[in-house]
Amino acid sequence: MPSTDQVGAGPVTDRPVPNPYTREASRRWLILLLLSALLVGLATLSLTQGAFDISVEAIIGILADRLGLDATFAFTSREASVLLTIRLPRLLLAAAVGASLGACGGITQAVFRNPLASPSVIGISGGAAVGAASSLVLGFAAMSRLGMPLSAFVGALAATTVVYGFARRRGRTEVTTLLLAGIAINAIAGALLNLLQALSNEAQLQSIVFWLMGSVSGATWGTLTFAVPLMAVSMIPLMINVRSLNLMILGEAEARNLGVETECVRIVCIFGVALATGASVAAAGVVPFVGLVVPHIMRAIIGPDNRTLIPGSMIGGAILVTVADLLGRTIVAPTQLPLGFVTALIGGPFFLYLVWRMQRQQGSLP
Amino acid sequence: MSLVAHNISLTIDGRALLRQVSLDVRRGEVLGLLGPNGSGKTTLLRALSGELVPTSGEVRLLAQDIRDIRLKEQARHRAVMPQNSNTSFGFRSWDIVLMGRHAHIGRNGETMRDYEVVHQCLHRTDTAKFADRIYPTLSGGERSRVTLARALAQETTFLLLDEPTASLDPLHQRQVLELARNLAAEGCGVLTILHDLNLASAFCDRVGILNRGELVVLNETDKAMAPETLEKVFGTPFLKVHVEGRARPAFVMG
Repeated sequence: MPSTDQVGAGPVTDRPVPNPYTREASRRWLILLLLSALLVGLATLSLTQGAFDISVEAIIGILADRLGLDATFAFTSREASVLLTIRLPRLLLAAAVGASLGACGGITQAVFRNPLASPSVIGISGGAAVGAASSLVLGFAAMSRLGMPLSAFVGALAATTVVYGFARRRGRTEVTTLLLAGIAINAIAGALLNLLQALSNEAQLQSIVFWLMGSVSGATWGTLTFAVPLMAVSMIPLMINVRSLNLMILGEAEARNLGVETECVRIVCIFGVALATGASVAAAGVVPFVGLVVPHIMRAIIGPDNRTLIPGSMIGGAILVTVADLLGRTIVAPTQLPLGFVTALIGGPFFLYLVWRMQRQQGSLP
Repeated sequence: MSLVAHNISLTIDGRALLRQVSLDVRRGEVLGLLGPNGSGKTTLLRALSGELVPTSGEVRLLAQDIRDIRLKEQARHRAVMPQNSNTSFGFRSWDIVLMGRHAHIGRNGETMRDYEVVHQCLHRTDTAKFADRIYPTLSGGERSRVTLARALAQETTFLLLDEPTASLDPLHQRQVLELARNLAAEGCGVLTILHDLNLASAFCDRVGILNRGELVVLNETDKAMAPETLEKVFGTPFLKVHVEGRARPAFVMG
């Protein structure tokens, strides 16, 4: 008879059984590596494009020069100034916003056990936009650089709490309730934004319209220095919890029985998602559908395991927003299409496709 | 070491779901839990697992109040097989069973032993052939066996099974309950909710019968399953039939 604590599995074989999926796991990391390379390529392409082209050599030369290395490639001071003050911060912000929205989407879907959940669908982004806009109108934004992102965080947190409170019944999250609560929150957020627009002056009005569109065109190094650290901080505890996140998809009661501190995971995730969404909305406005679309595409490529899915969604989100911004500022140049418009144009039809596929597979929504 | 409910009552929204239930799951036995729909079987199981906190009384595991034990520690000593486990995400059955190892996996990640246990549990529940299949695409009965494998992978002393045979074909009903018997022989304490009186009669060492949140009887199977008790609780008469060549009686609706 086995020892006291080692019952259940029965006699263990003599020969150790390896993980049959080890190769598959390493294949997933390889794909992430390739996607990262793709991101670097697209980022470089994005830096070269604009009102005038900057060659790749010039970009390398400028960056090397900034890092104090010997610049072997020639570049003009006009190129350097455009790259460093406009294109590079804009690119970095697009990538950071995409990465944090992608990760938030993956996390939201796991915690709510629902593949249709994402920060914009269930109203987290809307709450953040209301927070950010009210910080402008009420004057918090002028007081401190963190005034706006923190207000956005509070708005996002409030929206998440309400949605979650409605969607959870006895440890289960109801899909329909979740989506309906999301619709309600988005409607309330829309009304509040209209109210704030009515109360604001000309300059404030312009900024609020900017949120509704979503854009990285105003990116500066100043934007990056507040947004990126907030996004990074919010993701650290999530990465530690990522194995537990896999178990959360079984539902809270089951995850708990398997030894997951569900209460703790839930709180960490909700705070993290609210903080990251708040930071990204404060920096770039509402960029819809990234959190919905990216985890789905990544799941199709690398499977549902959150240990690779979350980093994958970060890379995928960065790619999507970088490309959307590149398209938005080049296809109708010299005019620019708002970033949120481009992602909604890609994401809206994709959302319909998801609904259609689920209907076909299961006869109804999950 | 034991898993014990001491005089527990549980009231939710003014409805008494459990009234002063005392019950112990002993190592080496299969304890069956019977009762009509809504009699509190699942509630009792969820209270025993520590998921629901009783309004009064306490559940003790490892000789302490279960609420004082960390969840990971609990998960190494008692496993729960719920009814209708499912997810919308495309994990393989193998991944689902590996989730049962969560409480054993440390900071350094999964070890060879975790894989061995998963492998073994898939074999014991006859689910190895769909280890590769996507869990949400399995049939209800197949999923239920994978869920059982997941509970086994926790390698616990106590197993709480909520209608493990509900969606299974007769062969797999038999296999699952034979597995429960083998686990008991290995030293586990198994509590299982059942609806089929014949399965309870054939496979359980002791049987408890719940009615309206009250534990009407808790005794050795033969003594607990008296036709009079069954008729009173289920509201329909039963005949106790002795089948030639069988030690355990069968029950036929009268």
